[in-house]
Amino acid sequence: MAAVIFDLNSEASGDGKDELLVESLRAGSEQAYEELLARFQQPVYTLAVRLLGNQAEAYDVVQEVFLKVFRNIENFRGQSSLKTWIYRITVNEAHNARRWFSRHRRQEVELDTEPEQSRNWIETIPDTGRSPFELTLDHERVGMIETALERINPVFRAAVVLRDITDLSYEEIADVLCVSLGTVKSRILRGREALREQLTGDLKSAHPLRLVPTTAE
Amino acid sequence: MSCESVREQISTHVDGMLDAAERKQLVAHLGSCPSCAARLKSTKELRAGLRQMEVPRVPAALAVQLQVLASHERSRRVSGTGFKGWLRHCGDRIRLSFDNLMRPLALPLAGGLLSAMLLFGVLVPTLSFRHEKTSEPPLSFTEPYGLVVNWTENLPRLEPVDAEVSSDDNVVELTIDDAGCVADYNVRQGQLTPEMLSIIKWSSFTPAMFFGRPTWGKKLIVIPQRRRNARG
Repeated sequence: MAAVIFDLNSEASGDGKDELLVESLRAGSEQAYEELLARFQQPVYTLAVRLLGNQAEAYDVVQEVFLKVFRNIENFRGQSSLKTWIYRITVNEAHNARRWFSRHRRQEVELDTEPEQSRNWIETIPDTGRSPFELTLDHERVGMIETALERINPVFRAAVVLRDITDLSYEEIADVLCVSLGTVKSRILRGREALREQLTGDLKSAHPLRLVPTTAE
Repeated sequence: MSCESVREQISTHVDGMLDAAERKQLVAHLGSCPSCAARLKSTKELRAGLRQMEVPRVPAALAVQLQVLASHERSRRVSGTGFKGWLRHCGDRIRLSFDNLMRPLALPLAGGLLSAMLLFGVLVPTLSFRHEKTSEPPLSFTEPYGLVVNWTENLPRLEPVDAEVSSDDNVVELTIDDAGCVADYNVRQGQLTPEMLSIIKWSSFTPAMFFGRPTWGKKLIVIPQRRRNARG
């Protein structure tokens, strides 16, 4: 059975391939385990890093995710695709990890980042006369977006990351987050708005640095 | 169409999720509203920026850990499928445990055993053990004793110090030293006969033993009144 997976390559449809892969995983095929890791370890790691904004935390989360995938493959019913199922586990694990870290990190004291040396987005904008957004994109554009992404509400961040970085469709995001399509649209919109506000430094906002909009349900 | 509702649609439009009618309305508005057009442009740029973000590569250590994890989970799963698989799994586990146990021990164990045997073989011929001549166990204390030949009823006989003797016998208490010779004597009752003197002078006894070593002791010589020749 395991050999069949590799004969298929990309000729078979994604669903059929998923079914075969899941069947082989249940049967304990070594190749199926390797195949699963080869297909998903990079996207899951990227998603975890972007959701948590921290590679060390993502390191632990990815292991938890694959442990859950391997242990719960029996419970995978095929109602959603394997990809969205694994991403859903990743989003949930990242959520749990964030809660855990936020509870425990409060007591930590950072030694290596001094306020003068830390990269502050507003200090890197030299001229407020020009469009700050364009300027931001010119200077360390990607780095700034990364920083801004870490600052927005995790609920909206998850929607934006799944759409723009992981490149899922709205339906898939709805499946991963277990919400309606309307909520997905709303969260992506609000996530992008929050990002834009972070990047342009909308000082009209009451809390420009810690924008915490309410969750759209 | 207000700018506010257009702004809400721009995000969905960028993702290509607007239906034809909504898209037509939006495009018409964008043509006439430069601020909303700028919004669309910045949204597209933002999206492009997000897509251009560097993909963080999976660290090599994590990849290895995931492979180990997969291997463990696979063996767990295999062990759960059917009795045959379970048996094979158990066999593998036992063999692995045995190998893990024996490999570090096998060389030291064999080396230790060989060197112990070699040392034993070299040393044993050089060892000398003291052998006891007598087969008697080393009792805490044994009395001296002697051998009396030509035993008849009226010959002198040896008795323990506390033995009961009849009142008409001649009784001498001997003190015998650790060499078996008589060191002293004491006439308990009756009289000292020539035979007794002969015994005292010439007899030699097996001395008393104290934990296997000869020591001093006492013994009685009893000679009935009606006596004959006797030797001790």
